[in-house]
Order: sequence, then C-alpha cells, then structure tokens
Amino acid sequence: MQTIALVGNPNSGKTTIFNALTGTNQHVGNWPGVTVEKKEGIIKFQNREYSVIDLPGTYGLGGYSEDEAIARDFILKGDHDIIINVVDATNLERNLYLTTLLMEMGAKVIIALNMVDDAEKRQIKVDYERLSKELGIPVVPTVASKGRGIDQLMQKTAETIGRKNHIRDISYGKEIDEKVAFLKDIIERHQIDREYPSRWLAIKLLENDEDVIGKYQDNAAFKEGVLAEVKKTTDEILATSGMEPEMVILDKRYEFINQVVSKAVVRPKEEIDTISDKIDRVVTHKYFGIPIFALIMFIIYQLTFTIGQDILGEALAGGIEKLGELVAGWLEAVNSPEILNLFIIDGLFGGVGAVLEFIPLIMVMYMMFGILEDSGYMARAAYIMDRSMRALGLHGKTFISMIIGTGCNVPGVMSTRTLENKKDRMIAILINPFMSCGARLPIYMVFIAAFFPKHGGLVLFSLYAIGIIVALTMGKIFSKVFRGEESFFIMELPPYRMPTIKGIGLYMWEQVWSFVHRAGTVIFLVVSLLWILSILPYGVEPYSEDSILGIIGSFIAPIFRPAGFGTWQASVGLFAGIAAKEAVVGTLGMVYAGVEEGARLITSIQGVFTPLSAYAFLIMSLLYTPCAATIATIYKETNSKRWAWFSAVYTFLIGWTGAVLVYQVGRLFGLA
Amino acid sequence: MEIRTLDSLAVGEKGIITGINGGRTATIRLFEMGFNRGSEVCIVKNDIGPIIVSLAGSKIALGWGLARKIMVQLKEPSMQNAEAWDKGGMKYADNSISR
Repeated sequence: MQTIALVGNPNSGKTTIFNALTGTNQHVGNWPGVTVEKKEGIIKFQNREYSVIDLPGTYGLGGYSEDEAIARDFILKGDHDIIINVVDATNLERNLYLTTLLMEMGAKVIIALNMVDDAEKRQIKVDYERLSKELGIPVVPTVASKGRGIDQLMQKTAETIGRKNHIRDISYGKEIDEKVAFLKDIIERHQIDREYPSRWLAIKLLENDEDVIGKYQDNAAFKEGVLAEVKKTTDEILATSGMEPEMVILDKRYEFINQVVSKAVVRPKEEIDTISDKIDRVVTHKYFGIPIFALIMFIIYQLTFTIGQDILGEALAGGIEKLGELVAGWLEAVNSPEILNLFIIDGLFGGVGAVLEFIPLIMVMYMMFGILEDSGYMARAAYIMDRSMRALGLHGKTFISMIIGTGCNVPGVMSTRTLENKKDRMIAILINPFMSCGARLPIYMVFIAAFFPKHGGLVLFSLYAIGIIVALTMGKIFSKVFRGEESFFIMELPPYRMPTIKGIGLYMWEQVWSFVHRAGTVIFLVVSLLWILSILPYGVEPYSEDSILGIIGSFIAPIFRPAGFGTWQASVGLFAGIAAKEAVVGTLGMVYAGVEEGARLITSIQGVFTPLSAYAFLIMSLLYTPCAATIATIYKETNSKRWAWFSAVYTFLIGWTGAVLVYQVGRLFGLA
Repeated sequence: MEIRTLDSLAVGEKGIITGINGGRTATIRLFEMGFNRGSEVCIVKNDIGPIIVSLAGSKIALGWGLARKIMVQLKEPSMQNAEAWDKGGMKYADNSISR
C-alpha cells in the first residue's frame, strides 16, 4: 500500500483534508496546534488503497517543539510515497517556505492550495497553473471544509505518485550554487552510506543543521573528508558575503518565493480592514480583554447549568428513574434472584445511571466550547492571558493547554507538545490536572442540586476559577524551582470564522461519546467491583459499614475528618474517582441508593453533608489526584515514572489542604 | 530612513524587515514564520501584552523579547495609516514612549 503524507503549516487545514479524504472525523479547530500526533487513515480511490498520514503542522523542519519534531522526523525518514503539501491560499508567501524545504529534499510533492474561497473573498487572485509551472509541482485548488477539490486532489495524487519528479532546483545565487555543487561532488565521491540525496545533504551541511551533522558523527571518513570541506567553504562564503551561509540560503529561499508569488499571485493594494480586525479591537483590548474572557466563561457555565441541567438534565434524570422503577417492577414480577435485583437497581441504575444523567450537561457545555474553538477565539484567549502568564513566569501557550484541559486533562497534557521549551512544557503538564475536566462536572452538579440550587452557575464558575488560580499559583512555584533557558512567545492568530454546525456537532459528539463510552466501560467496571465489595462478606447488610467496602472506607475516612466529610462513603467515592472522576458520583449513587428505597442521590446526601462540607468536598474533587488515564498520559509525555507519581501525590496533598482550609475557615466564620 | 526595532513602532506604522538581531534558534524560527528580510510588517496592536503584527495577510502575536530582535526600516506613514491610528484610538505621541 502506498503512503500519502499531509504536510503543512499549522492551521492550514491538513486535518480537514485528512477527514475529507478518509471519511474520518478527527478533531479540527480554528487555531494552530490542534493536531499534536500523527494520525493514520485509509482511502480507497479507483480500486486502490492508500494509507494517509496526518502530521502536526510545522513552519519548517527545525523541529523546535515536540509536535514539529514529530512532523520533521516523519518527513526526513521518508516512509512515504508522496507528500500532499497543504498550503493556505490566503497566506502563500509564508506557507511556501515549507514547500521550498520539501523541494530541496527532492521529495515527491503535490500542493493542495486550500481555502481558495477565503482568498477570493479577500481579493487575492492566484494563477494556479502559473504557480504550478514556477514550482514544478502540481497544484490543486481546494476548499476542504466544503469538500471542494478533494476528488481532483486525489486524482492528481494517484497520477503523480507513480511518476518522476520535475521539481525545480532553487538557486541560492551563483556563489552558493557552485559551493553546493562542489560539496555534492565530494559527498558523492566519499560514497558514504546515506539515506538522503547528496544535494540536499550539501545544503544542510552548509546550513550547519545539527541534526543532520549528528547523524554522521561516528563516520570518520565523513568527518575528515566532508566536514572539513564544509568548514572551509563556510569560511569562504563568510569572507566574501559577510554572512553565514545559512542566512544567505534562508534569504535566497524567500527571494525564490517572492519571484514565484509575484508571477502567480495578485494581491489587493491595501488589505481591507476585515471583520476580524474589528472583533480583535474589542476582545484583545488592553483593559477589557480579560473581563470579556471571564464574562464569556461565566455565561457558558450559567447556560450549561440552566439549559443542560435544569431543563434537559432533569428530564433525562426523571426518565432514567422511571426506567429503573419499570425494570425493578419487571424483575420482581419474573422472580429474579434478589442479588441480581440489587445489582441492577443499585449498581446499574443507582451508580452508572447517576453518571449518565449528565449527558445533556456535557452536550450543552461542549457545544459552547466548540463555538469558541471553531470561531478562532481560543488563540485570542491565549494572547490576552499571555501577560498575566508571563508575570507568573509561565508561557502564554500554557493557557491553551489549560483550556483544552477543561474538556479532558488527557488531551490537555498532550497539547503541551506545542511548547518549544522543556521547562515551560514540564510546568504546563504538572498544572494541567487542576483544570476541571468534564468528568468532574457530575460531582459538582449533584452537590449543587442538593445544596446550592439557587446559585448553581456561580458555584460552578467559582470551581473553575479556583482550578485556574491553583494551577497558576503552582505554575509560579514550579517556574521558580525549574531551571531553563528563556523562552519566546510567537503565535499565529487565525482569522475568525463562522462556526459550522457540523464542526460543533462533531466536537460535541466526541465529548459525549467518550463520556458514554467511559460510563459503559471504566465506570461500569469500577461500580461493579465496588458493588461486589459492598455486599461482601456474605450475609452482611448490603452497603453498610460492615461490608468490605465499608471497612476500607472507614479506614480512609479519618484523614478527611478535618475537611468535614470523614464518612466512609465519601472516602470510597474519592478513592474510586482515581480510576475515573465520574466514578465518584457512580459510587455515591450506588452506596446511597441502597440505603433509602427509591431515594435519589441528591436527597440522600442532603442528610449527610452540610453546605460547607459539601463545598469542601467539591474543592477536594476539583484538585485531588487526577484520574488514571491522566496519570498515564503524564507518564507517557514526561517519560518519567517519578513525575507521574509526583503529580499523583502532590495534587492529592493540595486538594486535601484546600478542602481542609475551606472547611476550617468556613467554620471560623460560623458557617456550617 | 532610520532603522528601528519592531517593538518601537506604533499602531498603524509599517516597516520593512532589514534583519534579525538574535540567536540562531530565534532567527531561524522568525524566518520560518515569514519574518524574512524584505517583508513588510504592519503593527496592529502594541500596548500591553505581546505585539500583534500583520504580515503577508496573516496576524501574528509575538512577545516583546522577540520583537526587539527584529530590525525594521520605517516606512513613511500614509494618510491611511493616520486614519488607522485614529480608529485604534492611538495618538502619535505613543511613538515616543520608551519601554
């Protein structure tokens, strides 16, 4: 099977093309850095199968950040038969830089000139045929978001894949061209076992590319024969032009691009002041930027609460309850064994059902997050927060990973790959678990409904805000502890786009599906396991303190007494939450459902918690040890068991401290 | 025309990049993203926080540390730019504020 690799700048639409080609629904968003791993898909075209690889976006082949390194390594390894270079038509000059690098490699390339509709709107006229001729690369105009040009792109790809390349060599001026030819000769004469074309190797050596030089570090013949000549040549160029050869080459690449663009592209004299500019003037305003952001978030939580919970959530909860009663009646009618009834009613409906009630909430919340993402506002949020982040010694992009963490900490931790600097990245990983993820919402909702029904939006907002504040505080502390070189901030701000129903629908579906999927797998398993522990040893009163579960819980409970929730039920709930956060509610639902017949979780906890201890419990749930999947991701991304353990333990300590503080200080003020 | 660093330009002012005065990584990074010699940049925002510039049809936010490394030749502001200043609520005097 032949392999097609999608390569291009961040936010040029690679994943949209990937989805259009393979019919998959990978997550896309309107900001740079959505894709941080390579993804594979299959396309069947004219009775042949091709494997398609979607790579993280990259501006060049320097591989400065983890995601760019993934793209670079794949491109250089050459395990592909053709590259589809996705180029943003509104942004040709800058996008073609990567194209020139691909051309130098002698790779087989075809250009998907994407977003030609946007270019037309901005009165940028591109002569596709001329562009193709100037570069020596086939060019196919596409509008991937509308599926336009995808067939033609695949047609052209299938034609080109079996053909010889006609890519032009880029000229770096007479002097460098001669030196490149000279070095190319030397490389070829030394007959070094090499995986790259010799001209490309000559260019990279003149550019002083550390990675390439490193590859031949152990080759004595190469070192003596080639590197010595490179050094001499470099000095000669430095003497005649007064510039490092790499700078001359960089310059010449752009000269080449400018020539191509001047022949193939007509731009309007003066860029029209677009709507984007007008929106930006407001949302990135120096005083109003942060208040506007806070307001947007507050409205999201408020709407989540009213529509997702009060209206839709209640309806679904009622439905699940009715279904439970129906099933209970039916089970009794068919005389099924008592133990099975207990499991189905308390374990399944009480436990897993308590989690599923929150589907509408997840839907509403992520629909609104989807709008924010698709519109292009996310990159602005990172921009307006950069100043505050910097004051704390953090990188602006850390905030993007934090926002992604509010969906789920697993992609949140993974998104830190876009941070160039190791120190920045490490901090971003360690503070991500404090960002309240979707799985924690059910806990908040149950307790809000039981204790703070009038101030739901406010309590929810306060929890997210506390999560952010704790994350930033810890970030500040870590930035003092870790050492590292100074980092720089540079980020493209994508143009605003009208969010599409499809895009938001997909985003919502992704979240809902993963929620339902977890409820059916992890949560089901955890709840089942805990249910068994709660009816053993045989003959014990189910869900009582004397069951194995009760004994375990009672053993842990004393450490939560200073926080006001030292019950064995709360303890096992939190314990189960380390497997997955929804399991907290699932477990509480199960252990309390059996106590009072037919009582819902919300009413049963009203007798056990006070508003103050409930809020302390929420703080604990927000901050304590992340779920197993997040810990595993931290292990994978840091490649260190120590850091994974550290993140599990230190978050627990902070959660516990926070909960105790809330409870004790609250009591001082006479709250209960 | 005088050569200045990018961070010293006011909103609406345009400049042609003449060079980058930084380390190897920063320089190549900036080149890759389109801040090459001869490109025209226009300042969209320059107050607090990172600077926003418009470059070849896209908007890029960059921190002051980086902006200070970019050398530009100031282009004579046209009437249109003067209007942009007014729209952005900036005054000419902002030019002279030293950071």
